[in-house]
Amino acid sequence: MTEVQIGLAGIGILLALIAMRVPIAIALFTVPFIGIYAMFGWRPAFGALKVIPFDFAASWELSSIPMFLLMGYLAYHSGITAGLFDAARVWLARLPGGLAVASIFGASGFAAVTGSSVATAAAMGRIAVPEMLKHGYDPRLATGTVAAAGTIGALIPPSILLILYGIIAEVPINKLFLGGAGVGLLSALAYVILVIGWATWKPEVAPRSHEKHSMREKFTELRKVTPALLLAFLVFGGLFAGLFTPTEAGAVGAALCVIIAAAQRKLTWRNFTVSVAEAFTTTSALLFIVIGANLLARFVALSGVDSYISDLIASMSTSTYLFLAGVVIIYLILGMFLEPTGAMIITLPIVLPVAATLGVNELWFGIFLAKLLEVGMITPPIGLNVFVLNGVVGKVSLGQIFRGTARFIGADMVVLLLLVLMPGIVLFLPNLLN
Amino acid sequence: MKPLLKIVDGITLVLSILAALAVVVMMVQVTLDVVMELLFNKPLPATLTLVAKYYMPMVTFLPLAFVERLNQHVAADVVTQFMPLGGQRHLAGWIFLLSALVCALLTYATWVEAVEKFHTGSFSMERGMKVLTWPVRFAAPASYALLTLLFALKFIAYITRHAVFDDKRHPFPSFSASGGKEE
Repeated sequence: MTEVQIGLAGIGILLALIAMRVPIAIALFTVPFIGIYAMFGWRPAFGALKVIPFDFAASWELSSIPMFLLMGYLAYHSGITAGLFDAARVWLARLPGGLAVASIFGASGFAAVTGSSVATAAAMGRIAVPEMLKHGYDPRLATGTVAAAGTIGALIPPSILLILYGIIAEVPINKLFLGGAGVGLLSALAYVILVIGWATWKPEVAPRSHEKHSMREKFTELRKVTPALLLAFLVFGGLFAGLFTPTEAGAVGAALCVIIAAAQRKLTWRNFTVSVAEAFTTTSALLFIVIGANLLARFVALSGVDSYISDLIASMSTSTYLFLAGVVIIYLILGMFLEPTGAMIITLPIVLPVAATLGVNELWFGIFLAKLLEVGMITPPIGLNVFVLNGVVGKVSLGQIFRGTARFIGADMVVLLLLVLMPGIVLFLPNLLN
Repeated sequence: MKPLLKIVDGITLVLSILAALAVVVMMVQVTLDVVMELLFNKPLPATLTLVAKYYMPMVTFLPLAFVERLNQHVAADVVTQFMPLGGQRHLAGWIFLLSALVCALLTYATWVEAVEKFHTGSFSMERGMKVLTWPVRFAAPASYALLTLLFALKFIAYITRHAVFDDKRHPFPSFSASGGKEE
């Protein structure tokens, strides 16, 4: 067998192992180890296992992950983010589909303190979906909106997905965050337009609300979420102004959460320990995979599969659009089966070199991938946001939620198309940093 | 079986508490570093080195067994969910064996590396300050070893049809939102 053949066989076996429900990290250690052993013998294979885990984990850049996770969990468990939906609601309730629109605004606010799509969907699912159902909203609209709005969590900073992309592709994380913010807000806007259109076209799916709120009430609700907004402002203001590195921004954000929660007398020992435990659990599970992916990247490079695939694609066509169309198809399929971080981490070693050969802007590509992978969170059969929502809400079936998300997937496709046709949407904000 | 799992759980808890401390100390030290730098232009010594070379490896490796005990290592069950339950159980059982073998190899490899670094007495320099970095190297083999043990126990439980892992309660109540009652 030639080295390229070993490489290709390795990738095939890797996918088979993952399909057999082998923990992704274990599959990622197994295949490259055996592959490198088959190509070059024991020494390089064992050498890679010796050095990579620690050297990769001992990184300042990666440390922003536990810090942003801690900030998000603390803000959630201590109730700092609890009032976001209510605040959006008193301002927006009178729009067609007002409660659904409010849940999109609430999710966007929640997204600014947490880096996870699932967390955003779960949080809004607990608060907003029961309210919408109570007001006679069609369950498809209620759950579809929240499942889709959850995906904004991985686009608006902080975003664990974008941090990982930044580290692997060596793109500055603050620039990725700014690009992600632009696309996150664009997605939110697309969802709002969709909801208002849906509710106007078919008023029965979202009975108009007649609730009236005085200005006084509106500002009272707004005041309740001031800490959350202030938190996001300080953390990302500091980051984008160049005052903090991402790790520092996350750490300061987490510390601010502790201070805010203590001041509001919401900081309990349990809230604190659970937040810390969730932060280290998520970090450890994630980095177990990332370290394995690092090994995979080495294996792919050693076997020459990356340049083989690049050449293959280049020989078929040098059109960037064709490549992107291929990327969309592959990632939509992958996204149906794998959660975004896993799907991204195991494919980047192969896809990045190809994108680089074709001259695709790395910053733009990261945001594009993040958006694409997030669509997978709401597509059947494995739409994590849909599963989580089904668990949180209880009485709406998976099928109903998937029917609800279908229109939002359409909106996502429009957003993706806009990103391709107008890359400036992504690049405008990050370029201001130069 | 049960006493063995108790021992593994005990060690897991200790390592997780160390990881928790690493997270909290990281937050406090980085924040203080920022504040001191902004206000007094005097950052805390060796923050970068400590975060990268100490806290990050601790947070990365020490909770590995904790994560597995909560079944939170990421796996894709998209294909296997269509298999009959018995088949799923057998497949999962033998995957525990594969996982134990892979983790044993990782334990050995990172152990050899840690011992080498111990003998060379590896350290980092930051602003003229010397920080020994070899001790935390042992976090990797220690955590992989514990994970190996846990996978091995899960495999043995599968072979002997022992129900010790069927208990759905949270094994570490102090780290659970409900206090471990209703997981």
